[in-house]
Amino acid sequence: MPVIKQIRMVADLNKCLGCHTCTMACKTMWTDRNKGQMHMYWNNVETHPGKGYPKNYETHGGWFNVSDRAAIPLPDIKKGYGAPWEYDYDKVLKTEGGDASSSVLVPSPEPSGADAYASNWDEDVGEGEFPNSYYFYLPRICNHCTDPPCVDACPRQAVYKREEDGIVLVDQNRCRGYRYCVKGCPYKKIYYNPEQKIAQKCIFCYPRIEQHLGNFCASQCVGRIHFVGYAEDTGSNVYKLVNKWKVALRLHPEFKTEPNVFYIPPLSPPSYSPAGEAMENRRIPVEVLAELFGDTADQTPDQRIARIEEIFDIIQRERDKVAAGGSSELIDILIARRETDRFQV
Amino acid sequence: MVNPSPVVPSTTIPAAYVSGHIALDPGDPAWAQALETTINLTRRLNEAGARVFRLDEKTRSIKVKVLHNGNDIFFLCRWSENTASASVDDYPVFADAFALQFPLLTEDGIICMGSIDKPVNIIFWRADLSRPENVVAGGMGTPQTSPDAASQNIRHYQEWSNGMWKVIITRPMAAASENQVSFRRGANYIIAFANWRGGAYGERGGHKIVSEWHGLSIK
Repeated sequence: MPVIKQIRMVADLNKCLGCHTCTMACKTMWTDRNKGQMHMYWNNVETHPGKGYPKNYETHGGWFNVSDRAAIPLPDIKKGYGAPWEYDYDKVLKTEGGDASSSVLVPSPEPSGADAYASNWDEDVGEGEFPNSYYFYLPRICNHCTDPPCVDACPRQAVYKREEDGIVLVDQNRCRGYRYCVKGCPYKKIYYNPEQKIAQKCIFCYPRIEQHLGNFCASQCVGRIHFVGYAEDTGSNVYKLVNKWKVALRLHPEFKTEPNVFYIPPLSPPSYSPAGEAMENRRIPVEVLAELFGDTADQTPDQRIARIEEIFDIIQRERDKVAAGGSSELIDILIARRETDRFQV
Repeated sequence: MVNPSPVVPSTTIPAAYVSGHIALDPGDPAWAQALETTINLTRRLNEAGARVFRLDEKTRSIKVKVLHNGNDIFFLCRWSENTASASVDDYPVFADAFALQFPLLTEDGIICMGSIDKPVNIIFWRADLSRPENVVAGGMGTPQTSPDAASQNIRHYQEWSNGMWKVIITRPMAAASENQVSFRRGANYIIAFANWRGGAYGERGGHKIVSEWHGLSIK
């Protein structure tokens, strides 16, 4: 069913601190009470390069693998998403009456051995050799895709896309826990609750959107990296960033789902030569970014690289303009002085 | 989907009458009075994401005995399952399941979950559920656990041993609500069976194997 309006989000990765406030906001709001939700982070922040959450999800495929959908794996909670554990702070921390000489925190339950994993297992690891090591943060929620594969995958029409704003939801009464939607989503942003035996996912905080408030992950973001608005609203900052200034890209557009969450790719400082001189190329190789970001499913790797370089040129040009005392609509938007600049819903 | 010609079942399962109490136990002596019928499951539904059928196992079979005492009807079903699963507690884990299907309002119906004008009544057992569900469907993708509490009155016994599931399903013969078929003495019904090898093959939803319609004669 075509939607009347489509909600969109743009996240400016240049401003993401990796503080996980968005994740905690989402967790606190939606997934910290009901049984079976502890492994779920409807919003998560992962370090790139990295394995992501769930582990290696980018290699799992999705409903676009028409010829071999049976082969799409379903991640395991402990080895894929990571079993949530607590540390024995009370034994170690003096403030809790513990013994500070025993300084090793022990997680419980024990992560599962050599296959242990969690949503931030490889946080800040990244790649590259000092002084040119690099990484950046990638906050992820459901992309509320224009062509959502979770909707296609469900044989019961339990997953649907709301007509009024394009938010993708799971009818909790219709769902029978088949998990085709989990297979279908190449971003693995639809989860399975093993206690309630049904699928659950990011709801784009629709009760807040209906009250013209930003979704909670974006509202709580200390870096103020998000812009939320409607794709069709030509006055909105999401429209300006995606369609007018063309500085925001989709994550893995080759998955053919047309995500409605966009990212402004991160600039990075120059690489250094062994002699310590700044070089031409950026610390984060543009090829690494081009593996993640692009405009459309049919772009070639070279076209993606060219687009990212074009975006960097636009941002740098506008920054220089402001630094020289001029004004720039783009930089004004990116600074996001007021909440109304970020949330136009 | 085309309207089927009237169903002429090749096999009729007799539901023997036994007076008095029947225990929810395969060891109840009453079962000696029921004839066992072997039902072949040969149909695969084609569903997105599902294997159409396995070449090494085109058919399965279920052994069925049916009894009633005038008040309650009992179905005792046995089938082979080497890798039993009674859990759905992780993403890749699916439970074994089994279902009985009857036309709800009509004498016949489309075997693939009925149709909008000829809905079906399904008793759905899955090894992890606390009790079997009373389900109504009016076409593929439409099955719903019937919302009225009265119709969720199905009791069961389940046991897996020696590579075999043994499941007894029982409910009062009289319908508890409009969401259940009523079984009357002397009447003939049609019945179909479905099986999901959740543990072995991750079968769920339309990814299953089903029988033809068979007769059910309530003695």
